[in-house]
Amino acid sequence: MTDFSAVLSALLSVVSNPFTLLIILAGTAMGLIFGSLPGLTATMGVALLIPLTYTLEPVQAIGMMLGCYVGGIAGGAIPAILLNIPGTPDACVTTMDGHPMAKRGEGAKALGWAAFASGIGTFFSWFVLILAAPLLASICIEFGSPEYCALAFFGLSIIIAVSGKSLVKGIIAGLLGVGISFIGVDPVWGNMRYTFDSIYMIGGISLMPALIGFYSIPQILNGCTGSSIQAKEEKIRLKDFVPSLKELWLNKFTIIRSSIIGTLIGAVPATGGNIAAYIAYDQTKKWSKDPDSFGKGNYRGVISAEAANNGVCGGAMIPLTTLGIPGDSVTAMLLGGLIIHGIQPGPLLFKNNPEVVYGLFTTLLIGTVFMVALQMFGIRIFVKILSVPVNFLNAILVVLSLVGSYALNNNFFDVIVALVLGFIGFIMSKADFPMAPAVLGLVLGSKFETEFRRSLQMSHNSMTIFFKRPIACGLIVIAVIMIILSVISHRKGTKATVHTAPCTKLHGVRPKK
Amino acid sequence: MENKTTRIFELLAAILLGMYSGVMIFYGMTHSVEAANGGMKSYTFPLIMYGIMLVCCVILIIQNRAAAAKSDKGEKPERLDKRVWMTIAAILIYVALWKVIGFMLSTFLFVTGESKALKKDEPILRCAAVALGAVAVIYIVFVRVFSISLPETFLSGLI
Repeated sequence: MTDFSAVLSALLSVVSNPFTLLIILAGTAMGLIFGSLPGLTATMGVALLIPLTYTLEPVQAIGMMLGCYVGGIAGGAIPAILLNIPGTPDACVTTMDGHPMAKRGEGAKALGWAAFASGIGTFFSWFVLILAAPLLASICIEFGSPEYCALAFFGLSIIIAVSGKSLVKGIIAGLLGVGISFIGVDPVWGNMRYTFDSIYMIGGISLMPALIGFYSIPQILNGCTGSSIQAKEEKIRLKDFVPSLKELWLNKFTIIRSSIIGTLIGAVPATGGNIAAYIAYDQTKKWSKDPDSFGKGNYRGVISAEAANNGVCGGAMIPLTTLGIPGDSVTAMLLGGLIIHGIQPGPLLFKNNPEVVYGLFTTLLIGTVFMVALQMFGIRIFVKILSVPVNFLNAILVVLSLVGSYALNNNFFDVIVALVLGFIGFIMSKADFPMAPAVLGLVLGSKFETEFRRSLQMSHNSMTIFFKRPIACGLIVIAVIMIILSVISHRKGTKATVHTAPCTKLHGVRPKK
Repeated sequence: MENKTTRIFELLAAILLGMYSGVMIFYGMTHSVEAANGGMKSYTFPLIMYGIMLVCCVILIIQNRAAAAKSDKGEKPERLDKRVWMTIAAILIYVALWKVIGFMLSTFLFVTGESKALKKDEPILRCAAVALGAVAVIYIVFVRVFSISLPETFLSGLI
């Protein structure tokens, strides 16, 4: 059980040291910059920060890295909302409702909700971290291949929900993502698959170039004929983008549900914010009284995605601090950073270095506060991007997208991957294919396959292994129910469109039901 | 109801992705790797997935043709704006130039050319100034601050 007086004492110690606060602020600002530039991720930000922290005290070093982590995840929402280009993979879902809001002239409001939802999501996961870290860690350690496979299946089941108008197109897009994830080394037997004897394909297709290809290039090509989205001419006031207490109260269930999903997904090692955001978005849509408005600029879509992907931050710290297992790539970097500072996360960390644990708890909280504050101050500047003439914006976006693809591995092949997938993505976007299933398939495809095959190996090719283990069985049952509900809701939606379409065409309005 | 342009792109995408899955199925079948201890073969799972993808593409092509048969025959497809073609060509040339004249110079040329091409009445000097600013910011952020080495040729000695 966590000693709350020690947490409070650590908090006072950090707050009373201006240098530590400045270090955390610098880390958070750097994270926001990394998150908001497509191609630069929070992982890269933390990796680049580690050498800068060598001379710092352990708590300051942790604070700087955690600030970068929190800022990096939240910063991805800025280009996702304003440009329809996710800054990080975790922000893919934010584009779905954030950008339509920006196009409607509500970019500042979407950014405000994104900042607050990110803050609340991280705060919620922080609270769970200090309250229930040892308990959650003991549950997560029970996860084996069948449970991971069921979790990946649960994630993939969302493809149906985010398929848009055509289920077939959604499935094709999802399978395209899954198919791309097969390229490279076979995760079970270690032989090469679909590499076409090219050394560049051995490592597989990196997520970031694929993401830039699917989201950024089609957006650039579709946008080059349009005009810039004009931000509101009048001065943006604080009340235009800071959600009121009433609004926060009205959305309490969306925020709490999404934060819980983010924290739980984050606590399961090797998952990530992307999956959490998709699941939370899907759940918010299912619980909404107006599910049809999602994807067209419903701010609850932004809230759910951002609360969940930032909720992962605190959740991912649970296995890291209690078991020494990194939850995702950023926490793997954090683990490396902690080890460099002579701190070995794991079961003995709470006993041997309590000051570090409480310092970590405290700096995560302060980094969250800084992240929200920096975004609030920055919103007036961020929305100016919308007024940049489209000819300049497009040219610069091409450069940033291609540099982003190249920068991750300093590999020219990644640029080619981004371009090839970009042109395919452009054709698909013109054909009304949804892009979200492709990214979901890309992220979860390999994981699903690996764990499915490992589970079958464990059970000597018997599928009953998935139904003998309660967590795996529960996840599969929920996923199947979700698929059935999504298909029913999709069929209802299609029928409604067919019935109303002629009337809409004739009179320009939908008839009342 | 989808318009003719969407239908054409839909057909194009379905054929393209169907062909892609067909190639991957053929590759998987000709590169079979035996599994040890009776486990699942390396290509079994991908073959199932690509098989489903191929079937879905065929379904989409059938749906597309059925919709085309029902649609208004006189409807004309919208042509892609020439700026889209121009941007595609400019991107390909830009990327090819990375290895010839280096990143900085090709970026300057690309941003100047692309921003002028997308808006004909934009003064060329303004385009060049914006391009210079963009190159400078990218150089400072990526090369200087984050130590990312971008491909350079004859400017590499200078920077």
